[in-house]
Amino acid sequence: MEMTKMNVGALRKALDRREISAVELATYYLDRIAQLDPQLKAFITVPRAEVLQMAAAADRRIATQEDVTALTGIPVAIKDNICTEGIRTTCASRLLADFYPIYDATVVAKLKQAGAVLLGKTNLDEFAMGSTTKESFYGLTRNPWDRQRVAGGSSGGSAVAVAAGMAPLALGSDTGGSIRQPAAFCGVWGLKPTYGRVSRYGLVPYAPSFDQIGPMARSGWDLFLLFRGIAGYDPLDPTSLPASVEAEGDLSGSIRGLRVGLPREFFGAGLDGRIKERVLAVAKVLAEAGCELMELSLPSMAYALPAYYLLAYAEASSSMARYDGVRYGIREGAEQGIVGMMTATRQSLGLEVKRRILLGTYFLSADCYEECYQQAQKVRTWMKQDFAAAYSRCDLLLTPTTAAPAFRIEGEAEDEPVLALTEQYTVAANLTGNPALSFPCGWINHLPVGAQLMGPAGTDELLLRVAAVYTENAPGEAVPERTARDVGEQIEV
Amino acid sequence: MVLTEEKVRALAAIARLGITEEELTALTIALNRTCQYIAEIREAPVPEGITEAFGGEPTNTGREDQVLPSWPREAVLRNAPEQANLCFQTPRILED
Repeated sequence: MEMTKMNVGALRKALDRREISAVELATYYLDRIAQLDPQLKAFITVPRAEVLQMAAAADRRIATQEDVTALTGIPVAIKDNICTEGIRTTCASRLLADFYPIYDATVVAKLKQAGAVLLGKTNLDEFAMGSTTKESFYGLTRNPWDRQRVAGGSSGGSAVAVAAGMAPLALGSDTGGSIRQPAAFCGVWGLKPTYGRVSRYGLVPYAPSFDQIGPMARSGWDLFLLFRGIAGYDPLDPTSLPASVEAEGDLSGSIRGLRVGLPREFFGAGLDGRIKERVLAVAKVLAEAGCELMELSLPSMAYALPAYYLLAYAEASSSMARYDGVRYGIREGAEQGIVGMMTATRQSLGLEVKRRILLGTYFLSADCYEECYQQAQKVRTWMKQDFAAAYSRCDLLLTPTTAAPAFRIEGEAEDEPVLALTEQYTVAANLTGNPALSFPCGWINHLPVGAQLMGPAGTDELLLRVAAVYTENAPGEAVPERTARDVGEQIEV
Repeated sequence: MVLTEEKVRALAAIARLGITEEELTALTIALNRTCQYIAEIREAPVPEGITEAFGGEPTNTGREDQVLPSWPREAVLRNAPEQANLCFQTPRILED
């Protein structure tokens, strides 16, 4: 049985028919990780004994057919900034190398309750601050389609785990595009849900007014199953949306008559012409399926990236204050008094995290607060109004996810304009709190390309439905024709 | 909006952030690059009447007070670098 070629629905059937056990399935993925991960470095921690225990528990549930859900026995990889009780959670930082959370994040608790098998903790940029997964204390994650290129980030480990068939499903987190950009670079699906639909309780914070946990998968249906497993109201998260918007329904239903907006600002300077071509081909397929296309303009987008940097880094400087060497993490310089200890302890943070803390501290200082920070808050409000006006004319927006395919690890990954280009299309959804989905829409040579759908708050399922219709009707060469198994075969083991 | 090395050093002190001399040089260049980039936001033509708040969005919601079990102190202290008498231990803060 070629399990990496099977979607979650097929795995479910195989488990329920006892054609395979959850332990066998988990073992298959553990072995595949052992085989491929030394070269890809998608995982930081793989707790083999705990994985097999969870799988055995799932088998008992399946045997008695009690509480069997769509996810019972299905392995899920978890980004390593999401707390897992008793399983090391490092945030890819030296500072948390020995941090063992005493509780599960709500999403993890929900997955455990559903009987899913937590496969391991995936690599990321330190504290989710980055867009390459180069900024990890535990080594860089490589793109499985070209190991000389970045995986994207910060959820690069989760994207690679799914793309290379080391996990059928994974959780990431998205503050400015950290699920969608690596999903696009690695040829998988990734959803940044509406702010508040998925609990953030137990997600180590970077910029709390932007952060969202979301699913990553190899198909729209698989993504939907995982989204449904983690979404819903949580009293432990004060920003959680009321239960009335919990995930429901399915992906069937016509998309005929939907109005799809193509915002000019996402198709202009800096965009690789070949990506533009692929995304316009998606628009054509949607039009053939009965959608109405319209061009529109979002003038506030010109200031999206500066606003994101100002607000997210300001929040980051505050979020990171908790790492003071007192309650968890490493402690250094205790002999230098309390201030000396805090300063010495935080010295071990990586350069990118330090850059964001310093910028955030500066943005919140008297020098900058009124002119820049408050102005960025106003731009954020303007963007929400600008997008709300667009959604009064159309149902959703179609754009590229990134301006270019995955870039080379050497050279380009240090080039700030290149990095900015990878974030310019994704930050809008985090600034507005609206949902956004990246899905594969073709190739440039050997590298996958992603298209992005955005919609008003609560339209997460609609985005999935539209992308699923595209995938069903797309020409064969547009969707990943090479399988995760083939990725494994490309890698010398 | 120009940040000198002295200014960056002062920001690091405020943020209780240890940085080496080598990092100071690299960070000063990087910080100035970002500051130059974000400066354009001052000129953003934000429409009249827009304030920092956006009406109609979800706000933080307080729950009814409810007595719930808390974490055992031993569990909370498990990740502490140092502990004593079921408390977090820090270097001395006040002089004798």
